[in-house]
Order: sequence, then structure tokens, then C-alpha cells
Amino acid sequence: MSGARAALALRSVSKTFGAQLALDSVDLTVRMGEIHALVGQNGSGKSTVVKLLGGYHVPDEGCEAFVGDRPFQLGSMTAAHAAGLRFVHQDLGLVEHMTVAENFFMSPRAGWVRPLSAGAERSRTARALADFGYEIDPGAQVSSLSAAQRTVVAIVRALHGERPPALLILDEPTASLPGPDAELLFAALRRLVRGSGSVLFISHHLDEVMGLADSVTVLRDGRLAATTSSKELSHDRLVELMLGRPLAPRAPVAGPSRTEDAGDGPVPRLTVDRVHGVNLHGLSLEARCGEVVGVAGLTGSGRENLAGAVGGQTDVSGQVAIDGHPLKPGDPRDALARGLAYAPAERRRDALLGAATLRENLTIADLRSVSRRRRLSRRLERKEARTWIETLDVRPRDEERAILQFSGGNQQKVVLGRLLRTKPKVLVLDEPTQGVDIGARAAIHDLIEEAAAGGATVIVCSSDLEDLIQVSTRVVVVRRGVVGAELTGAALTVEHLEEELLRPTVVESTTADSAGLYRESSNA
Amino acid sequence: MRDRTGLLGMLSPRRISVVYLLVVIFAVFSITIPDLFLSSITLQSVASSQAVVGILAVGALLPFVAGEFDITVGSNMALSVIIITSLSNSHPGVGVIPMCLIAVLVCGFVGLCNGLLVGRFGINSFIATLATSQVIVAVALKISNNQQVLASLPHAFMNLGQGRSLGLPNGVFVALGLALVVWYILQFTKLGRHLYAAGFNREAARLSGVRTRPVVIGSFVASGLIAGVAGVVYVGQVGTFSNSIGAPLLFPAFAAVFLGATQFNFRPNVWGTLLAIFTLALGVQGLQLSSSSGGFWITPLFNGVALVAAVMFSRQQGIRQAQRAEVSVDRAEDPVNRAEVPVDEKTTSVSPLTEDVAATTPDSEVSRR
Repeated sequence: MSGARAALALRSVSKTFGAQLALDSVDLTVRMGEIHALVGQNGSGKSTVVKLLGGYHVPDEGCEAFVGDRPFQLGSMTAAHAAGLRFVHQDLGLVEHMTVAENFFMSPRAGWVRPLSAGAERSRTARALADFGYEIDPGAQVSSLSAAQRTVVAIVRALHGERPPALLILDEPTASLPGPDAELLFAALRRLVRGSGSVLFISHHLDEVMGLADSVTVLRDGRLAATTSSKELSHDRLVELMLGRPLAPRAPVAGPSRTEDAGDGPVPRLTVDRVHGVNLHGLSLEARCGEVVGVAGLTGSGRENLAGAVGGQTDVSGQVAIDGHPLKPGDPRDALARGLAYAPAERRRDALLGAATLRENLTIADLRSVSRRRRLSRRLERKEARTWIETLDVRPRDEERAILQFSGGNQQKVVLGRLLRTKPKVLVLDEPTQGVDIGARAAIHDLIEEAAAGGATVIVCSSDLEDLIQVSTRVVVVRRGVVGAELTGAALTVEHLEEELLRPTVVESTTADSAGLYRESSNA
Repeated sequence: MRDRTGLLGMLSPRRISVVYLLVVIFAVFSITIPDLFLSSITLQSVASSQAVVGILAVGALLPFVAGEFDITVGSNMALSVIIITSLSNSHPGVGVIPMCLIAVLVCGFVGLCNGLLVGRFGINSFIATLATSQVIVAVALKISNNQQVLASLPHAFMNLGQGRSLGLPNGVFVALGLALVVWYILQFTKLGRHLYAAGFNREAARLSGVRTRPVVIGSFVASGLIAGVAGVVYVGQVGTFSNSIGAPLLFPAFAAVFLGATQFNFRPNVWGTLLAIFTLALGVQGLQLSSSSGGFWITPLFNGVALVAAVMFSRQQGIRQAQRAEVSVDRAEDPVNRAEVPVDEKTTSVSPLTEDVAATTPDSEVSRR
């Protein structure tokens, strides 16, 4: 037991949710003055550990926890704060419409009643940022800052206070940072631990983990797989620990390929050419008629942003073209008119007409076909809705029922039906099976396959690898905003995909906007 | 609980609470003050006084369907009135019809300004139209010099405005005609469906190929034009501008739109709106006739209480409905995966309350970002 020098020690921590054991007597020790990485696949229990530390979950009986030398009560937010644990979550928790300084002085310790002095707040904020080597205007609105600056603001905010924190816990802080910005952040973290702070760092990016962390704890299926020094660890060994099996031979096809064997003329049906946007750093992609192209990627890789960029929901630079005709960026109407139909991931927020009926949700994208002489025909519309209810096998079979009263799977089928009614050439689906039961999942797979068999090009972005493998003819892996690899045929297995997701990416020359934003700290 | 289409479902108090309210009002006053209440004069006075309110409500309904408030309708109507009355004095040669056209077009322009503020510049519609309504008031006061202005219009026009057909004041037919047109648009045209879609979920509508911005702007233009027509009818009935007209009509018009949205199909609709106007006015009339002291204070009291009570009633129903829906919606139950998948809890779990509000008030937050 190196208890004396441990910033945080957890002993046999377990957590069950209902019948499921999410954490199974996990040990974790973060020494003082080290950067400790916590890694594992989705569902391995990383987030559960963070939530236990933060007090969002209460652990099962029989665990012990220490911060420094003192026992620590897991599962209490106030205890976590009092013990000196500071958190920066992936969403950063900043208030966009407030200035940097206001975000710094939001915590209750600033005093509820004592009048706040804007000038003092700003100068203290500026000093705290400068200690980290950053020059960010404390009077700037958070919404006007770049992703990198926001991350820095969130971290420095977590660290500043009356006394230095015992442990800084970063939950995927680099998910949305381009490479050079992440490097600057890491430099700041290294300075922090030199001043005897400690960092627990959760990341998907194993190259970062290898480069930054002093030691690594690997979780697998809720159990401790290993805790080692990062120097003793190779990248492949780390992936093996996370997956719990030896690595398969490297996938035969890696790196984007240009297929020439298509039956749809000289130009591919869909071309995505050097698209830049949030989390996208010059992504290019091509897809041909009848293809189902899966898009895989870790959180923050750009996978979540690709469909919206192609579907015209978000405004991006670069070009998306169908049969060589470029689409207007950020204009879903133009995309639909050119034959590209898009289903967003946030079904309830972005796809469903909440208070409307199934019928209205189904027909909204194409009302002409249910009109007679420019007049909507209720009769035609109902007939159309009933036909589609049969085709999609929606239950209950009731076209006048409010859409929100259907299950998630049935709602998703209706959204798909809405798109299919427009007879799209390209179908872009973002997380089409999220929050959907098994039966509906199979039905949605069938619909995708039917659409492809009918000549449509389908792009499926999903965090569910099984899903991708089942429906896709090939899967592209997005890493750091570009296509990093492509798998088809026999190489298209969950194992290969998992490995490709975790493979380090050569950082492309991204358009870092960091010039002038940072200066190396002279006083730290 | 689904919206039953059968006869029983149609008659459920949930769907047509205002009809029941109307029946109760009618029954109570027929018994308590039969002589006063059951005379045809009562009905006529209600119809005549409410024609202008009805027109305003039909106008305000359009932006409301698209999820926006237009609270300029009252002052916009007053602007129309002052334009006609002052033109009739200063330029009597222009002719009645061009005068009315000018007034209506100016009101339409005000609507366009509202629409641009909301649709183009993304200003919350409540704030934007609150502000423009003050600007309009200022213009009206400037033109009128803060005096009463008597219109000097041809007798033919005034006779038409104050006359009756089929026993009803002519203004009522204007209201009904506009209501018919708006009903047809909302119910049977692509435009109408797009208006509703923009109101239900602006982003989903946009992603479904609806031109949400022009649709919203257009709804404000239409609302402005209709407020202008309300001004024409008002001039025909009263013939005078005074600085107190307009604003007092805003509340009854909006109350009717809100109340109407709780009727029939739980969304803003034309006939629910008109029914609400008639019911509220009849209730006010009955109370005023019952009161010995004149009861000038009854109108706002009754309108306010009836609005809150009726909306609360349908809201209760709406909450129950939404809760039931909540249960049936599939959820990813696996807590581990839920924790790992980056789902934004704030946006995916919509509370039943917000759900219901969407049916009764426009959720202006939805899309403008």
C-alpha cells in the first residue's frame, strides 16, 4: 500500500444498477503528482467511476475510499468538493451567455450576499488564466471562445480557489479539441502536476494517454483489467487490455480507398469533399448507388457531426454533392430537392413534430402527392398513411394518434417513412437505432437494405458497431475529423472495428486558430 | 388517451369544454334574467361588438400557429383607424376604397417588420412585437395629435359599416369571411400544414424541407393585413379614432386564440377561436345585464378568470395524456450504456409540462439559434 503518497485510493468499489453489475470491486490509486489515465471501451465502467467520485451515484456496500490520508465518503457531492476533488466533464459546464469571469465566480464560495466586484473578478480571472500560460479576455462571452479556449477556461476554473485541489478529474476533455490545442492543454496539465497536483484523466484517445499519462488503469466490463506504468505499455498491449483478447491481424484494407467498380456512371452518387466544421477537419467520402456505408467513430471524432453536415442541418465549409451537383451547405430543403434525405440523431428534438399526429409527421416532407389540385386531400393523406403504416409495420395501426404516444422504435420508423416517401437517392441516417427495441431495430435494418436494393445510397452513422456491421457494405472509421480507415468484406468485424477506432491517428495539419491565444507561461 | 374521432370522443368535455361553458352560460342567464338575456338585442350587441375582436383574433392566430406571438394586432388596428380617419379629413378626394387599401397595406408593412425582426433577426416574437406595438402607438398619437378624430366618410360607407344583413351586423360577415379563408388555408393547403409544422417543431420542419423563415414572416404579414381590415370595419362601425382604441381589444383576441387552441384538436384553430370569442362575450354580456351597477368592471374579470380556468382544465388533461405517452416511449434502460453514450439529457427527456405547453402556447425557444 502506497497509501501515504496517494492522492486518491479506491478499494473494491462496486456498483449495481438494477440487476446489472456496472463495477465489480475495482481498485484505483492515483499517486500524488501524477497524471493517471483511466481507459476502457464504452460500457467498461469509466463513467460510473467518475460519477461515483462526483457523488452522482452511491456505491454498493463494502468499499473504501481515501483522499490523501483521510477516508472519503463516495457518493456525496459535498464530500467530493470538500475533499478537494474537482471535475471537468466533457460538456465543460460553462454558461455560454456569461463572460469568462462570471463563469469563474459562479460557485457558491464566491458569496451569495457579498457584492461582487466585476473589476476584481476580472483581474483575478485573468491572473488565474495567466498562471496557466493563457491569455483569454476575462470579459469575453464564453460563447465567443473557441473549443480549445473553453476547455482551458473550464479547467482553470476548476483549479482556482482558496486552496489547490487534491485531484483534478478530466472526463474526456480533448474530445472536441484538434491536435495542437490538445497539446497546449497537456503542457498546462504537466505544469500542474509538477506543482504536486494530481490528475485523473479519462480519454478515448490512446495516443494521448500514452503520451501524457504516468500510469494507466484499464477497465473492462466493469472490472479492473490492469494498472501499470505507461512506460511499460505499448499501444497494442493497451488495446489488448481494453479488448481482453490478443489483437487480430491487421485489417487488410486500411486507409480510404477509391472504388472504381460502380454501376452509376463516372461520378459517384454522393461525394463529400473536404468538409470542415465542428469536429470535422477536412473529411472526404464517396458512396455509390446501392451502397450502405457505415460511419464509425469515437465520441468527439466527428462521427456525430458528419450526418448533420451532409444532411444540411449544419453549415459547413467544403462540398457535398449528389451526382456531381453540389448542395447548398446548411440548406436541408435544397438537399431534399436534390434527393438527399436526412434523419437526425436527436429524434425528439430535431425530427418529430411533437404535438402532431403520425399522419402529419409522415407526410410533411412531401405534401404534393397527397394533394388534389393544390388542395390537401384528407382522404388521400389517410390512405397514404395507412399504406405506410403497413409497410413500416407501425403499431398500433392508428394514423391519427399523436406521434409522441408511439414507442421510440415506431417513431423512428415513421421518420424513416417520411424520408422514404421522398424517394431519396441518398439516405443519411444518424443513430437510426438509438433508443429502439430489438424488433424495431431489425425492421429498420430491413428498410435500409430495401432502400439500398432499390438503388439508394445509404449512409449510416452509429455508435453501435454491431449495427454497422449488420447493415453496411463497408464501414469508414472517423478519427479526429477525417476518415482514418475503411473496412469491407471479411475485414468487417467488430474486433477490427474496435481496434481501428482506438488506433492512433497521425494528426493532420489542422487549421489551428491558436496563434496569439497562448503564450508559454514564464511564471509557472 | 388518443383523440377519438367517434361521436362520443367529439363530445367529450376535454375537446369542447367551451361549448359546455357556452351552454352553462346560456342556461344560467336564461333562468336568472330571461327577459333581458333572451332578447335578440343581446345577441346582436354581442355579435356587433365582437366582430372586430374576431377579425383581430383570426389575424393573431396565424403567427400563433407558427409558434409566435403577434401582440401588435390591437395597436396595428388603431393605426389603420387613424390613417383612414385622418385621410378622410385631409384628403377627402382620395376616395374610401383607396384610403382603406392604404391603411391595410401600411398595417401589412408593420407585419412585415415584425416578421423580419422575428424570422430574420431571431428576436423573441413577444419582445419584438411588444416593442413595435409601442412604435405604432407613437405613430398613431403623432398623426392624431392625441385628439379624437372624427371620420368624414361618405354615408354609403357608414351605412354599410353600421348596417345589418340577415339580422346580423355586416362586420360579422367580414369576420366570418376571413375566418373561412384562414380555415381553408390552415386545413387544406400545404402552406397551412407548413405553418403548423413550424409551430410544432421549427427544426424538424426545416429538416423536412419547410421554408420555415418565409412561412413565419408571411404569417406576420398576414396578421398585419388582417389587423388593417379590422381597422376598416371599426371605422365603419364607430367612425371615430380615439387614443384608447386598439389596446383593450388585444386581450379578448388573444384570450380567444389561447382558449380556442384547447378546443377540438388541441392546437390553435379558427373555429375554436371564434367559439371562444362568442362564449366569453356572451358571459360578459349576461353578467353585465345581471349587475345593477352597470358592471363595467366585469369584462376584464370574466375574461381573465375564464381564460385561466379553461386553459388549466385542458392542461390537466394534457399532462395526463403526456404522462401516459411517456410510459410507452422506449428508453435505453441499460444504465452503463446510458452513461457512456453521449446523450444530452436536457434535450432528450422533455418533461410532460413542456409537452403540454407546446399545444397551448408557442414555444418560441424551439429553433432560433
